Amino acid sequence: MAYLGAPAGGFAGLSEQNFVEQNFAPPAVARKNMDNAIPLIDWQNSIGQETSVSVDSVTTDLAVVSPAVLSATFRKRRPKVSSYFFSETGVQEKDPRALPNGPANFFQPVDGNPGDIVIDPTASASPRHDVKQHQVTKDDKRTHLKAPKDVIKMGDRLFYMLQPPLESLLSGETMEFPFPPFDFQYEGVGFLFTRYNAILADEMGLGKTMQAITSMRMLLRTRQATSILLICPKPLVTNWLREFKTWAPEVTVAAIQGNKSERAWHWKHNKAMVKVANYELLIRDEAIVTDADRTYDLCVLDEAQRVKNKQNSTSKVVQRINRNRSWALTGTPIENSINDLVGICEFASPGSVNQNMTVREIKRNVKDLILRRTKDIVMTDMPPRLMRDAELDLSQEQSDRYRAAENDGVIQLGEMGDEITINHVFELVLRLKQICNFDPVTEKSTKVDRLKADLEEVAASGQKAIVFSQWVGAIERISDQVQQFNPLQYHGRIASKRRDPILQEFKENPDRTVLLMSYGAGSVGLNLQFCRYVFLFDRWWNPAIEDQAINRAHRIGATGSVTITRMIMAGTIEQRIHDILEEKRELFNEILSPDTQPINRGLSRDEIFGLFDLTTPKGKIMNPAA
Amino acid sequence: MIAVAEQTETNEPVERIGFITIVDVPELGYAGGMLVVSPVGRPIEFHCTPPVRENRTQKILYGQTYRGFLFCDQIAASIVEKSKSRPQLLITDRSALLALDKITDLPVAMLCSLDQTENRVSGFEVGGEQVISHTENPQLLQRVKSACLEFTKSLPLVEPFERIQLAIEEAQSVAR
Repeated sequence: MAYLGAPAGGFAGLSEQNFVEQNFAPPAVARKNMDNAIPLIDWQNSIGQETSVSVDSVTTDLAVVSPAVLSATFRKRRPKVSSYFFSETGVQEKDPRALPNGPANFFQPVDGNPGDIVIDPTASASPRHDVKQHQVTKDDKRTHLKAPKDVIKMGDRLFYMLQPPLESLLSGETMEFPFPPFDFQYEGVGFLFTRYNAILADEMGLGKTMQAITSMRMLLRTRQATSILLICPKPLVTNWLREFKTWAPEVTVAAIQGNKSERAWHWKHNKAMVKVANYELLIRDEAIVTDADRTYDLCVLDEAQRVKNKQNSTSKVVQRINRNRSWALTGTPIENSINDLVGICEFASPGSVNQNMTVREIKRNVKDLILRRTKDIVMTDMPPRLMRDAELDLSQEQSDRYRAAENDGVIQLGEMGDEITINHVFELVLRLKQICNFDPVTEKSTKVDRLKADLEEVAASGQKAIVFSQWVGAIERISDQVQQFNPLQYHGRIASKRRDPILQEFKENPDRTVLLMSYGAGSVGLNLQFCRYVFLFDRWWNPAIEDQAINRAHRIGATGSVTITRMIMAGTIEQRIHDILEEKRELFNEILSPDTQPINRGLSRDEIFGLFDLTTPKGKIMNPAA
Repeated sequence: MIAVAEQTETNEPVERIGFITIVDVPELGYAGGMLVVSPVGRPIEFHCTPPVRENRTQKILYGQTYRGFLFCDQIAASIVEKSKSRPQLLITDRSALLALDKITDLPVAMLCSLDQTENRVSGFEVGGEQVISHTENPQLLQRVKSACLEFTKSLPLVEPFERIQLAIEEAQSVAR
């Protein structure tokens, strides 16, 4: 028996008997209508279906009492469908600010329709590095793009989400890589690529450069960007050029350099897709860089902690650069205090946070803005970083000189009374640290003695080492005393054009065992992962800088464990600074974790005074490390 | 695995594949979604419905066919009607949607699990997976096979369904 209103598929399985057995209870409205007799034929017609129903019992009842008729109308009430069309012109009802080009343009070869993009004629001569193609399987890792929170319209959000996984996009015929990226790097690319405002704050050594270049490459490929300005510290310009050659050989890159007229030509007329400028020349070329008629599709700040103080001249210039997207790259978004992050945000997402906000408010506002991963989390298979503290004793000469200098210095500071400033304390600290390095008269050094012993071992095992100091003078003295290891020097007094050849020499010449670097020149952006040993000859004020230095060697590509030796003279100012820095380092690791509130780090003014148990003009300051 | 039902014969390469499915939205019902993609997985169109609750009356009256009616006639058919680019092949992971071949003239294929393959009589292997079909039309089967082979050079066949799931979740999160 067929039932009323049966759809094309019929009512298989629902017999008259089980229909009744289900004790179908008419709804209240229907029950009310039962009082009104409705001819059976109308009931059938109301359903609008032909039927062969034979309802004998009902027909019989009709003749006796008012019929109990249930009227049921089956209409195909179809759900509303939301449709999104991706075409040459993009998503319909697009948000002009957020919308990228349509998928028809997604990941087309750059040379397919160059438009106003200049193709590097030498690009084809670059070696092709293809990611090894493999048969895709359903178990492969797939990273889907996610729309940032500031993309509001559903169509635009879905545009991102409905793109094929990054692994598929980036392994296509039009995108080649020298090495397959790590999973977390795909996530980083997905993070940057979809954002107009972003801070990539991965720990040093996780490949921020590669992630940024790949994201830029994708923007260029999708025509979402045709002009990009990248700003980095001067020593890193050549590094960026090299990395672009490796990771995006078809992208034209121009370094802004030369005299004033040459730079002006580059700024105005060079058609390269990416222009690389250094922070220092921004000030000099401010008028051109901030020209209101010039808008960059993307401005990237490398080592963005350089603009942590939003009042300094560099920060003011970068804030005025006309740009559609702002990305900041930094391994240390918080070097000293939460205000550092506020300063970086002033570029990356102007107005999103300010110094008057509470820590909780800042954290909430930057949650979708910052991506930070650490090696501990994402590189569990990386070789270990072995820290060892070499606590050394001053030689007798050093000890005598140290005690005298400290006593005299403290007395002098005490006698200054209200005249005392933090700079006076700094002077004493630096003086004492220098004595910890070398006896000022004999130039004897317990640290160098220890260093030489360790370098013997390094050289014998065919390995290489980097030695960091904060003073060029100290580096030169060390160099004099470790000549048997053919040391090379890399610091601020070395001309920029000589620096890359030095690194090349260090890497390729097996007789060059040790590279002596200053924290200032060598702590950022350099890839020295072929080194297995790092020595911190003296200590920097800030653990983040030390970490940056260490991570020149301990980064992706490191072939074995990296041993870091921190040289500390026992019972001296170095010991006291070390104790404070260790506390800071622990706090630093917690600052950017989601569940921990940021805390001021580095040595504060009070902590510096506290090193000598001194008092400020306004009262005694306790040494927190004591 | 793929089971194929239907129809169209043509020698043209498949350039638009419609992946269509029904997603169970907890406590709200069933939402339909169709992603039309190029042979390498680039999105061309996306359509989705809000969750549709099961209707108790209809459920009783339609009996075992209710799920097919809800999924296919009500939800999926509504979606397919909205398509402008007109996919040349529909792939689903819901057996109820195989009946779409009664509503459209498009070939409909189903991605199914191993235990659903017993009654399938013909098929092929693609992307390391065993593929079988209902169709008795060898040309149609070859066309579907070619499209699947081409697609799996870039992505596994299950991948577009993940995107549909994510997109529907996104739409629901906004709706809430």
